[in-house]
Amino acid sequence: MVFQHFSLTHVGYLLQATQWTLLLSAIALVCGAILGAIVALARVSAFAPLRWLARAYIYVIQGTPLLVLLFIAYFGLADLGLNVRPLVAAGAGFTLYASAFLGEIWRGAVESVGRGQWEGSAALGLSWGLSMRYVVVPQALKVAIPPTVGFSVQVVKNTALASIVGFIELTRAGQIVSSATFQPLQVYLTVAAIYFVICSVLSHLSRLADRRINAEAE
Amino acid sequence: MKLFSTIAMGAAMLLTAILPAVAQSQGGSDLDSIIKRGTINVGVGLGTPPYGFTNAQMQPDGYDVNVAKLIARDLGVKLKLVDTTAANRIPALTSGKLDIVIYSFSITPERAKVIAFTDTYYVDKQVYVAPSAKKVESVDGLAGKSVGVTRASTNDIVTTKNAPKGAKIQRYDDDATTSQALLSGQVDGIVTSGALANAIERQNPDLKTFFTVAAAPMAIGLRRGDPDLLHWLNTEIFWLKTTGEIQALQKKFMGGEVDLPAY
Repeated sequence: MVFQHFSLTHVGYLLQATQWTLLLSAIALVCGAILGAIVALARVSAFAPLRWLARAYIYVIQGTPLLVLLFIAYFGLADLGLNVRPLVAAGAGFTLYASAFLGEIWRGAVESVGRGQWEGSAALGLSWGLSMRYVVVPQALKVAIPPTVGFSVQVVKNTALASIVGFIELTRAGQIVSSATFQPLQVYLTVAAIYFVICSVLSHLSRLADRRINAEAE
Repeated sequence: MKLFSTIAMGAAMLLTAILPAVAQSQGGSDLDSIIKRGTINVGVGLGTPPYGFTNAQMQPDGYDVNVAKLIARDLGVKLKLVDTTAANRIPALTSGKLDIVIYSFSITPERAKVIAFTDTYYVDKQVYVAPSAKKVESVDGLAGKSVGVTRASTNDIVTTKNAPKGAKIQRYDDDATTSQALLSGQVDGIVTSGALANAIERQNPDLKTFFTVAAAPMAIGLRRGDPDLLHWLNTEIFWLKTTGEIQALQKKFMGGEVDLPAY
C-alpha cells in the first residue's frame, strides 16, 4: 500500500466529521441544559429530600470520569438489552455529564442572588415559582453566562472522547487521516484550527448574549 | 490523555470481565440472526494500515476491510463496518455490539478464554523498527531504550512479555500514533506488525527492521458458544483460500503471500 498526501479530500473528510462533533455538542448542551435546569431547581428546592437527591446526583456524576460515563452508556446499555447507536450512547453520556455541571453552575448563580431579593418578592406576595421566574432567574442569568460558556467550550473539546465508543468525530477522523497520510503535523494542525473556529464562535455568541442581557437590565 | 487511556483500559477490562456471561444468554446462533437481520456488524480499525485505513476516496479499505466485504458477500448480507479501537475489540464483542471482529486480531490463549477465534486468515510478525543508526541486535538489547507499542495489541503483549527489565515501554492508542511517535523521535524504536513496518520503511528509508519479536497468527474474533457461526467462518476462510481471493488480498495489501496454517 502507498500512503496518500494530505489534500483537500482529507480536509473535506475532516469537515464531514466536524458535523458529528457539532451534532454531539448540540445534543450534550441542549439535553444537558434541560436536565441541568431541573437539577439546579431541585438543588435549591425548599423540599429537603429533593435537595439531597440532586446533591447525590451531582456528586456521583461529577465524581465519575466522562470516559467511564461513555463506557457505561455504550456497553452498559447493551448489557441491559438496549443496543443503541454510538451517537445515542455518546449523547446520553454527555447529557448526564453536562447536566451535573450545568446544574451546579446554575445553582451557584441562583444562590448568588441575595436573600433580600427573595424576602422582597415574598413581601410582594409572589409565590416561590413566581419569585424564581421574575426576580431571581433574571438576575442569576447575568452571573451564569460566563461559566456556562466556559463549560460549553469544554464540552465541545471533550466530544473528542466519544471516539472511544466507535463514534467518528473530528479527533478520530484526524487519527484516521493521519494514519492514511503519515503527516500528523499537518493533519492535527487542521483539526486544531477547526476546533478553534467552533470555540471562538461560541465565545463570540456568548459576548453578544452577555451584552444584550446587561442592556436589558439597565 | 495518559490518565484517560489508563481509565479506558481499566474500564474495558472490567467490562470484559463482567459482560461475557450476559451476551450468550440470548439463545440460537448468530449465523441465523445475521442472515435474518440482513446485516453483519463487523469491527475493524481504520487506524491500522495496511489492515484497515481510508483510501484516497476516503472509503474504508485494507486487508481486513476487504476480507469483511467477502464475508458479507458470501453470507448474502449488507456489511456494516464499525471503527473500533484495539482495547475495545473484546468488550464490543461480548456486549453484543459487534457480530465479528476483523482487526489484525492475533490469537492468544488468554484472549481465547473470553472470545472464540476462527482459523488463521493471516500470519504476521511483530518486528522491532528503529532508525538504522540506532542498531539493536535482539530483544535483550532493548534495555535502557524506549519502545513504542500499541496498547492492548499483540505488539504490546509480546513486548511486555519479552523485553528486558530496563526497557521503557510506551503505549499508544493506535498504530498510527505509535508510528508517529517513532517518526517524531519520541521513542527509540517501536514494535509493530511486519506489514506496517514494510509500509513505513518504504515511506521513510532511514528506518530499518532489526529483528522479529514474535510471530503473530491472526484470526477473526467472535463470541464464544456459537459453533454454527464459528464453523461457517472457518468454511469461508477455507473457501477464500481455495478460490485464491485471500491470497490476492495478501498480495495487494501486504506485498506477498503467506501460507496459512490450519488447526
